[in-house]
Parts: sequence; structure tokens; C-alpha cells
Amino acid sequence: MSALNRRGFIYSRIAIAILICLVTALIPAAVLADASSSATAAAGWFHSSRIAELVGIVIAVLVLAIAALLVKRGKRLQLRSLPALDAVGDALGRATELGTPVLYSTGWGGDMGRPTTMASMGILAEIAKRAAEYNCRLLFPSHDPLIVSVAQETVSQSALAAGRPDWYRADDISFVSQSQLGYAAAVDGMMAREHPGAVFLRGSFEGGALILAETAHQTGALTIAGTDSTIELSFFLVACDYTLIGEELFAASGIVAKDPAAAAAVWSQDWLKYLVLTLLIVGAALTATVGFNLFQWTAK
Amino acid sequence: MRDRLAIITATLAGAFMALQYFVTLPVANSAYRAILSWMQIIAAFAIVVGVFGVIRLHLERIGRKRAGWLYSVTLLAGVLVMSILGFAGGIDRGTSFQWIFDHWQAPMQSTVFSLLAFYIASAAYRGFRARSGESVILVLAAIIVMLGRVPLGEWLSPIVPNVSDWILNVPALAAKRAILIGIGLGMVATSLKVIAGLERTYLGGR
Amino acid sequence: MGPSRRWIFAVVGVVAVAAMIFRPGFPLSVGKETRHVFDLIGSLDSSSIVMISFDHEASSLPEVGPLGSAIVDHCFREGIRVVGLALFSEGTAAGYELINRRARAAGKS
Repeated sequence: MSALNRRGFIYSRIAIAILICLVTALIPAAVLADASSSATAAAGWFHSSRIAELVGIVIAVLVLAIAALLVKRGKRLQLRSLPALDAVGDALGRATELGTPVLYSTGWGGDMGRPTTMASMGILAEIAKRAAEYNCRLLFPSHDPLIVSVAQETVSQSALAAGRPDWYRADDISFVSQSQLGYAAAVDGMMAREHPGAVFLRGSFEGGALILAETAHQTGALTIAGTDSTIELSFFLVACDYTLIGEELFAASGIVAKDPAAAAAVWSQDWLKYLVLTLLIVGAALTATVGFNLFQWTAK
Repeated sequence: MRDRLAIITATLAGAFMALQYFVTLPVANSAYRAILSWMQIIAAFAIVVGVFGVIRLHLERIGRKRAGWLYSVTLLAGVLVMSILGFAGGIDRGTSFQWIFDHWQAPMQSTVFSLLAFYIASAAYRGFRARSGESVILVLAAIIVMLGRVPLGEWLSPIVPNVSDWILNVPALAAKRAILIGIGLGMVATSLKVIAGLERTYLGGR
Repeated sequence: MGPSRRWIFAVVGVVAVAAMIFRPGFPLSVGKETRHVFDLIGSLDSSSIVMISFDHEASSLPEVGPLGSAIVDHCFREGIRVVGLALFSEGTAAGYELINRRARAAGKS
């Protein structure tokens, strides 16, 4: 697909999404109109108690559409820099100099349908491309067979993009165990045997997170982590050299993609954050001053 | 063409899943439940694919006598023995399968789990060692919370568990919620990207 | 492994073993959250069903097992039916075994 066609295809998909959201936004309006004339009409085929969520989705789609329009008009969107992303080059360089592989894990617990895993795959594509350029071996153990399939495809595409299809080794991307601690033990063993120069732990993590991070540290690897689990995040923050905190993982995926459409998504994510922040401040101020609870009102 | 079909499927399925959340129509509800059932069935087949993938990979490692091939022999022996015992004798209480699960697998997994006690201590030591204002706050908060979670804290003073609860329920929870809001927005942005066809990592980076 | 980590691991090991040998006794009180959960179960009528998710594997049985036993026992004492489920395959086996064991102990099997 040419770049132009692809872009057209992307915007047509955005148009479909906007259309769907606008149509669904009209439905509650109709239901509410009915409700004002008849109390029973609101109990129709629309969840009138979920209007607040719908409004939120419509706003999110509109912000994304605005970002996409800005990109289309040639505006260069300013994206933040993330130290945990900037360190990737150093980590790969270090592993290459040491002649050791790098290890990438999307964690344990998430499947391919989880946005965290998708974000992690976006980062894997970029790391695999650079690893192929440096001729640095990449190990990818996983707990999910579908993730393995997608990762094999991702890494082989990255090898092609780097002009090094011979670098790709399907065996290095393997399913190890669906058991949480079984997975941790397998990855620990891999780290103890292969001594990777850098370990990337990015995705969904549960109880085994600290075991992986500490073993990586013990084997002398530079550890770069990122997760959406608030519990495991605290472990990563003390045990790893760099950590992507929560939403930074999603932003990182967009930043490394170097694609205008992905940049638009990151930009929209930032603006949605400002919007939520404003709502929180306004809501807190209204509650404190006039006793009006904005959040209870929207939940009604 | 294959990619385009996958993206259109994702767009339609994603839009439907978003729509069904807002409508109470029985047809939407039953379609939603059917999709969930299909997801479970497909996930179950994925396990079969995974197991065959593991067997193929380790047979190859043994065949080529790659480094650590003895680990592969152990793994395949485990797969074979547990499968035979499970299919032949069942997995109920009193069977050989259950005995191996109780006396081998559970203790081995518990051993890996128990490493956490040591790793938490060494990670905490490194976190606390950093000489900065933040690390002092971290140490103080950690001491109070740890004492508040064990009987020793209450024995020392009833204030300790209260202060511990306050740390967990006010500053820690506020920070956690801020992170969660960010994560939620990140997930919304990613989901919209999937519906709009912008997010294609699930296709393997094509 | 650096020397400092060896010392940390040794201290943790010694403390864990010492606690098992000497068993220091401190007064144990029931926390707010625990009381709230038990009161909530106690306030249900006998036709209610309590759904318990055993979302753990064999590795965390020593930690989570007693928790599950306490809640299942409390439900049985109150005459409330229990439905177990799990996200993990091992959790299914662990929950099934736990409910059966506690049901036998409560004379409900």
C-alpha cells in the first residue's frame, strides 16, 4: 500500500469512527427528549445512565480527529521526550559492545487484545529494527502463543526494514509457560545463561515482575521497564534503571513509530490529559465552594 | 488485501463492542455474549498451538545439541509424563497427576514465589540507598506502612496503623489514581487507534 | 552477586527462620477491612450466593489459601452458597479443592 493510499485509508477509518460516535451521540439525545415527555420512554433501548461515558468517548474521538487534521495540514506536532526511550540506544549499544543479546518481555497476564501489549509490540518493532542494524541478538520469551506469533511477525518485519532479513531467528521468540512463576523461572534461567546486556520489561506484569527485574540487575543487565500495573510499577521504579510510568508506555509506542498518525494519537492523549486535569480542578472547586458535585451529577 | 480485511474486521468488531455498551437491545446483548464465547474458544485453541510450538522448538534444540539441550529433555519429559498421567488416570484427588502437582509443582512454584522476600529486601535496599530527599520520604513511609501492616506496629502504638492507613489511603492512593487516569486515557487512545485502523501492531508490524 | 546483597539475603533468611523457630507472639487484632467483609457476608440472607474468584496459582497457596478458607468457612457458617471461579487453570483446581475440603469440614459435602 503506498503512503498516500495508506494515509487515505487511515483517515477513512477515522471518519467511520467519528460517524459511529456521532450517531450514537444522537441516540441518547433522542432518548432524553422522549424522557422529558414521558418518564417511561427513557427505559427504551439505550442505557441513559451511560451518557457521561458516551460524551467522554465522543470528546476523545473529536480530539483525535483534530490531531489527525492538524497532521494532514502539515503541522508538526510537538511530542515529549521520555528518558526511558532515549536510553534504548545506549542499552542496545552496550549489549552490542559486550557481545551479549538483549531480552524483551511483554510481561505476564496480558493478551494480544490488551492495549498494553499492543503498545509494547510497537516498541518491540523499533527495538528489533535497531537490534538488527547493530546485529545484536534479541530474545523474546512469552506466556501467550498468540503474542509469540505476532512478535515473530513483528521482529521479522523489523529485520526486513533494517535490511537484515538474515538476522531474524524465529527460535529466539518462544512460548515458555502460561504459569506466572513458571514464566518467571524460565526467563530468569534465560538471563542467568545468556547474560543479556539489556533487559526490556514492557507490558502487563503481576507477581513475577520483581523477580525478573532483580535477576536482570544481578546478571548485570541495563533494565528498562514500563507497565500499566500500579502495584508492579513501584517495584520497577526501585529495581530498574529506567521506567515508563503508566501512560508513558502508550505514548512511547506512538513516539517510536515515527508515523504522523501515531504522533496524532500521542498528541490527542496529552490533550485529553489536560482536559481531565481541568475537569478535576473545576469539579473540586465546585464541590468545595458551592457544594455542587459535578461527578455525581454526571453519574445520574 | 489480507491486512485490509483484518483492519476492517477490527474496526467493525471494535465499533460494535463500543456500541453494545450503550444499547439495551437483546440482539446486541446476545451478539456480545456470542463474541465473548468465541474469544474463549479461540484462546483455548491458542494453548494447543503454544504447546506444539514448545515441543517443536525443544525437539529441534535436542536434535542440534544446542547449549542447554538437557533442559529441553527435562521439559519434554515433563510434558509427556503429565499428559500421559492426566489422560490415563484423570486429574482428581488421589491420582498420580494430582500427587505430582501437590508434591512437585506447587513446592517448586512456591520456591520461586518465596524469592520475592529476598528480592524485595535487596530492591528496597537499593531504593533506600539513594541519598536524596525523596529517598528519605520513601524510607520513612515504608517503615511506617510496614509496621502498620504487622501486629508489631499496633503493639508499639495504636497510632502506627492509623498513620499507615492514612499514607495508603491518601497520598499513595492519590498518586495511584493519577497514574490510573493516565493509563485509562492511554487505553482509550489505543482503542480508538484500533477502531480507526491506526494501530496495527496486532498484525505484526505490517 | 555483590557483598551487600549477600548480607541482605542472609539477614532476611535468618529473620524468617528465627520467626518460625521462636514464634514471637504479638496481640493480633482484626482490621477494619476484614471486619467489613465479614459483616457484609453476615448481612446477606441465606438464599444469597457468594462468588469467590480464586485468581492465584499453586505458588501463592500459602499466602492466599488461608484467606480463601476463612471466607468459605464464614459463608458456610452463615448457610450461604458459594460459587467458585478462576482466571487461571491452576486457580480452578486450587479453588475446587479448597471448597470441597471446607465443605467436608463443615459437613456440607
